[in-house]
Amino acid sequence: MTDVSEQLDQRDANNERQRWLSVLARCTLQDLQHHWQKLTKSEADLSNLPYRFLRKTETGLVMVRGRAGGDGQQFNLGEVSVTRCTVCLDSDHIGYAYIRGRDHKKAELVAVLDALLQTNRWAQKIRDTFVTPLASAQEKAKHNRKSQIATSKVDFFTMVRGEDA
Amino acid sequence: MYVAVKGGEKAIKNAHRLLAEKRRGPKEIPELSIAQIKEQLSLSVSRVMAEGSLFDEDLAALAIKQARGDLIEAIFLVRAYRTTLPRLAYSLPIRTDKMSVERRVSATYKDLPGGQILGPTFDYTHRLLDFDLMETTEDNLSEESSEDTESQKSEIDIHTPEVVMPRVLGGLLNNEGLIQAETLPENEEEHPVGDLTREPLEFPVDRDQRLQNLARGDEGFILSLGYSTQRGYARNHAFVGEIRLGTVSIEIQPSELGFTIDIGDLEITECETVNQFQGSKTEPPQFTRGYGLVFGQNERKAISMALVDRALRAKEMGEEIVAPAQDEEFVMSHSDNIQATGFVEHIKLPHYVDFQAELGLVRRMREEQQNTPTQQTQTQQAAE
Repeated sequence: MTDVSEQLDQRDANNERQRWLSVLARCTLQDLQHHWQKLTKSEADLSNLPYRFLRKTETGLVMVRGRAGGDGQQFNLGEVSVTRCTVCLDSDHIGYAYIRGRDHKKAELVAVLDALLQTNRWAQKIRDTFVTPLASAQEKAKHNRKSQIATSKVDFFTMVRGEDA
Repeated sequence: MYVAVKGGEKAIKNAHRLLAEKRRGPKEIPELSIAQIKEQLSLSVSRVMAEGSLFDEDLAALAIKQARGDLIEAIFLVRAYRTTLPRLAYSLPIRTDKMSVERRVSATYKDLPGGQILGPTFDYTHRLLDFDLMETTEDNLSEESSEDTESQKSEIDIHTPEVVMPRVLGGLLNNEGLIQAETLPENEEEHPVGDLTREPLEFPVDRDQRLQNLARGDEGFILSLGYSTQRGYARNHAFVGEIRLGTVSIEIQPSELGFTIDIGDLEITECETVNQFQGSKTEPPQFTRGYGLVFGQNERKAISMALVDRALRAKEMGEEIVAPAQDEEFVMSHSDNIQATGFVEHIKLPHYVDFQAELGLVRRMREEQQNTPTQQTQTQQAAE
């Protein structure tokens, strides 16, 4: 049992790019557009950023898999709608987006941000404007929900039955 | 025999207009928004996503609106829509042990590490109609109760470190080997995972196909079958080892990237049952398991699925197959409510030619019967 868990843990090892893609995938389009507009006001280069599509935004399905008993044989649970997009900057940096849902504008913006995050020129700026604040907002929301949920934590007592007393 | 009918275009067009009017209802009542359905009828949305086999809250809410609240019709719409989209990838198996838990209870393990978290549940409600909900108000939650929560919440914020919630069956109860462990096939990477949306159903099937079928199967059908196992048809005396509701990450590994990425959250309900098993010549008595996993929040379905999954494992456990819930061909051929409703409801569509043929046949048989009375009496006597 532990072997399986360890193996699974191993596969979960993250790196930074995985982290920003995960944060960006969870944002709303409004959040992303809001930050983008703020940033382009001060950075004129970004407002007309040239890039081309290597793959146009496209909505499709991902078949989600589960495991029997949580850690056993794999099976196909059902599908989720997913939108993907690939862009390429003039600097040849390639940005990818795979996000749950059908929001084409969001997928495009995520792909552009992924590409910018790989450039020396923009990485820090994008991290400060998008990834860091959005990640901490997501963490905070998660934590808030957790403590809300924790108010329904219960301690059950087993009553002594008549014949045992 | 199916014979096409012609005509009726105008009537059909008008029928569709009448349907659209009926869906909208009186104009003086505000129209339902997708957001309202999504947020306030979320359990209907969950069901449509699970049985439509497509996790997309907006589409499920739209389908419910279009189907006038008929959930099977909504599921049909979602199933039809999904066939228009390409399959981009398969996810890595989701990690329910890493779930952001909204609710988690065990009926077998009282002092659970991580605690019993009731979450948003109908359990322990009195099932009395709440007439306050008759009127729409700005906020139906009383201020007193939310203040109460706020103070408890801040207390928890200060006192609780990060809580871990180990799985009850795999992690906690398995230490003594009293519970059957799940097994992985050898060379898992190369072992194909059955997919009912790609290959037609052929019996016998493996557990992967059964679980996929049950996960998208009709809630009512699975519930009744699960209930039948409790009432004694394939009795295997189940307890709920654990129920979890919450969100997990969906991860995929696109070939062009070569590493795993997280594409967002998925809400799911998971149920594991612990069942009795007598043991066999080769195995000591131990508890066995049933597994239920469903999109969205749906405990009834998750528990029922786990009961039926366990019953369908009869062959692998060497149990005699005596009840419908143990018969994979019976269960899997009848669990899909879109197939079922398609066949059941199609008999209301024009069958004039078929019926004419049968009408002619019955008339001819009756004529023959009337023309040969003596032969009839003779056969009857012989039969007696």
